Amino acid sequence: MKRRLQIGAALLAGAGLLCCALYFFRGGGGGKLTWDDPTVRKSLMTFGYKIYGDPSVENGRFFLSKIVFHNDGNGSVHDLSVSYQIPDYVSWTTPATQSELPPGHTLVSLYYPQLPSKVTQLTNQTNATLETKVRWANKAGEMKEEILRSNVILRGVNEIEYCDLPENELANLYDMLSTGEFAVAMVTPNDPVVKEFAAEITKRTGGTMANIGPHGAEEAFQLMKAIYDYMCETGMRYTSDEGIPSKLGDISTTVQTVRMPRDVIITNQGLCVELAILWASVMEYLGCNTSLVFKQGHAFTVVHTAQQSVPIECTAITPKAIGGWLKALGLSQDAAVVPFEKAVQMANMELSNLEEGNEPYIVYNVQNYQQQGMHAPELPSIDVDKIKNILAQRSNHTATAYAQNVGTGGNGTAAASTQVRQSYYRWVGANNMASVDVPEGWTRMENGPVPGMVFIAQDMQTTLAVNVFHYPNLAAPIDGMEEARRGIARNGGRVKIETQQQKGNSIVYTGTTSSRNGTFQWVGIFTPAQSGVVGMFFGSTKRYFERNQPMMLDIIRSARIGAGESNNNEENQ
Amino acid sequence: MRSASIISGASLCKGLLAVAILLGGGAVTLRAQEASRTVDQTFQFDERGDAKIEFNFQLSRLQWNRWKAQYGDHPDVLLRVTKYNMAAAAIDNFSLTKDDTQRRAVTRFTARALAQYRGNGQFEIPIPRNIKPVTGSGLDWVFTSSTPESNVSEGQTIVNVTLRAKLPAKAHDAHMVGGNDFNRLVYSLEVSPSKPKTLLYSGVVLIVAGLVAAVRATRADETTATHPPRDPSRRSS
Repeated sequence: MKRRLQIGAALLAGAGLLCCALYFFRGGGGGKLTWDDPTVRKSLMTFGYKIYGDPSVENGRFFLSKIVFHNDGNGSVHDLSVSYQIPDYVSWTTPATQSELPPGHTLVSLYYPQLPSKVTQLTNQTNATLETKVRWANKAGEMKEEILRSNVILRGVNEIEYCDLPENELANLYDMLSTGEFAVAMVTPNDPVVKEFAAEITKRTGGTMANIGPHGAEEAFQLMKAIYDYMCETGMRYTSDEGIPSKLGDISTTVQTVRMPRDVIITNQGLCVELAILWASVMEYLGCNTSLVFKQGHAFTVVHTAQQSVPIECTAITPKAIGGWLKALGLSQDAAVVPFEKAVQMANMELSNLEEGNEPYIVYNVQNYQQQGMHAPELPSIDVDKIKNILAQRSNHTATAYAQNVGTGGNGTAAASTQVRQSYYRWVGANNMASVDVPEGWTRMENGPVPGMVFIAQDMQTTLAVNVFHYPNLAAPIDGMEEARRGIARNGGRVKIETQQQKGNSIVYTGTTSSRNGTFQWVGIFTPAQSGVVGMFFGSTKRYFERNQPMMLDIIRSARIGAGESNNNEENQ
Repeated sequence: MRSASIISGASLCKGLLAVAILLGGGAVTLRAQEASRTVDQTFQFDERGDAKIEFNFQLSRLQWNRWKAQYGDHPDVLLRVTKYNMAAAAIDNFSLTKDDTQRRAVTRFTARALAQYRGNGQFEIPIPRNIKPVTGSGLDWVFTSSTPESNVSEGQTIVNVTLRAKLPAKAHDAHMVGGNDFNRLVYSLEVSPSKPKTLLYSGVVLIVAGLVAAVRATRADETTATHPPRDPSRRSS
């Protein structure tokens, strides 16, 4: 009995000591730090550098790097710290230290780089390296360190990537536009250039529509019309450009060069997305709430008020861009201008088609996204006076501006009671339905080489010229313009209409004619008369157009077209 | 220079967008109407700061069709969006259950490190400021938020989200702390010891048992020594 107890006691004590030994020397070992391969963004859009630095944007999804650490050991990992650097752009960040990572615990380390604004000076893609330094204490308390490196591409400041997904993840529009919201960061309502652009437009509306706020539906509609008409009249054009498919590792992305609204304003032309962003910028500056709508291969803008939302097809400023829609809008295929109402109708039709066809599209509300942190980058300073001059000059050459001068006769009296000024010759013709005063020294000719051309006068020195057309069998001014265009084409000239503006029964056009003799810039006015349509063109070679402005406006003011002038002409004759 | 955020803003609401955004875009009203719907979210935290999460929601017919087209029939996309929206956690064990007859769906997944361990037994759960606490003390906390969502056909829909956070059973001293970007639900919890104490306790118990056995062996020896001699007369009887 005694012996059995002694043996049992010895066994129990031995087992106990063994357990304690295991506890102290084995079971309680140190932590074992493991981590998955870091998830590192392949490229950064430099115009959106503020977005990558803000963990609050879209719940932090635009991190540059994500590492998931895990402690697979039986003891804690101590003093785990992670820091980052992007040589030439960001120096080593202050390490954030986790004093203890208990066994079985996970730690997620995200990096939101505070890139310097100088990255917006990159015009082309540039290679950079992300370095990640991981430090932790091992079982013996010694510090271990590893440095991880990943390549990152810094995109040029105007390059937008619509997608950051691996190629095998792309199935639909939502995938293709996984980063499409970055376009919101290009909406720049506070850019001085955008402000000047908006001011130029509101100046035409008497300035009463500025800051209309979100509630004035009618005011917003009228303001949109003013913007649209201004774009048409100043010759702003839509230019087509597809995004360039690009591949970065397993990331397939559509990269497109998209300019800021200021560049669109200065060059007076833009892609659909550029025009949509410009619209949003101007309307946001004027106090409206806007959204960018993206569908497959296209973008347009929606302006919101409390009562309604008005979509606008921004590319309709260039009728050829929407050729397939013209018939549906009740317009001819060769329409020179798509009216604002039709541009709205078209955008509504696009939305309805998307809805009815259950096609994918994405709506990015500008204010919502910008409040989340989708901020525009700092823009370089610019000579605002120079911008003012560009815009003012552009406004002076609009059809509207010329239309205001047609037929004012200098002192506003009728031609019948107006004496022909000294050293001027008054031509009256087209069944006495048209008259114009030209300097006596100009070369003059009745009936020119183009069908319907009844009078030509030209100053051989300045190249300033007047052409008068009469089409007795036509009724609509637009038909008169088309007939003239065809006639000129048969004579080897290529007519390009840039703007058009209705003024009463007349239509005032601006445009150019190119031929082997060079390019002429002109203003054209077509008016229905008692018999047919009468048209007059005033212009000169493009080179001298600007300096000929005073003389040209003087001649335009003297012009009379239409039934009312027939008696006057008869008296003059 | 701003320090790198080793523990950055994972938060309770970050899975919200996965169910709130039907069209993938921001909130917008293209045709003015207003409706609302609700989403219930439950976050059950364990002692490591990991959370088992369940989103439960029901949609109108049109919403259901859209949601299915974009997410419901593509759980992989829903997982991707969930990962976007909960960037600061590690998402595992994702599943989606749909009931087309009720237009109801439930997503379940695990978000590791959603509660961030700060050392010394302190955990923090970041709560975005737009999520308001309703009730909370001890282990059960309830929050709500209202978020507009884009819906071109139906106009603006308000998504009312109820979030229930259930802390580990041994958590204590839970309280809210205000912050700039986030509020934080802070609690204390003794983390799993770094060494398996069962082994230690077992060893101690065994040693004690051994000592007891040794003592008894000693006593047995003493008892044997003082035992009275047998009575020979009784033997003869």
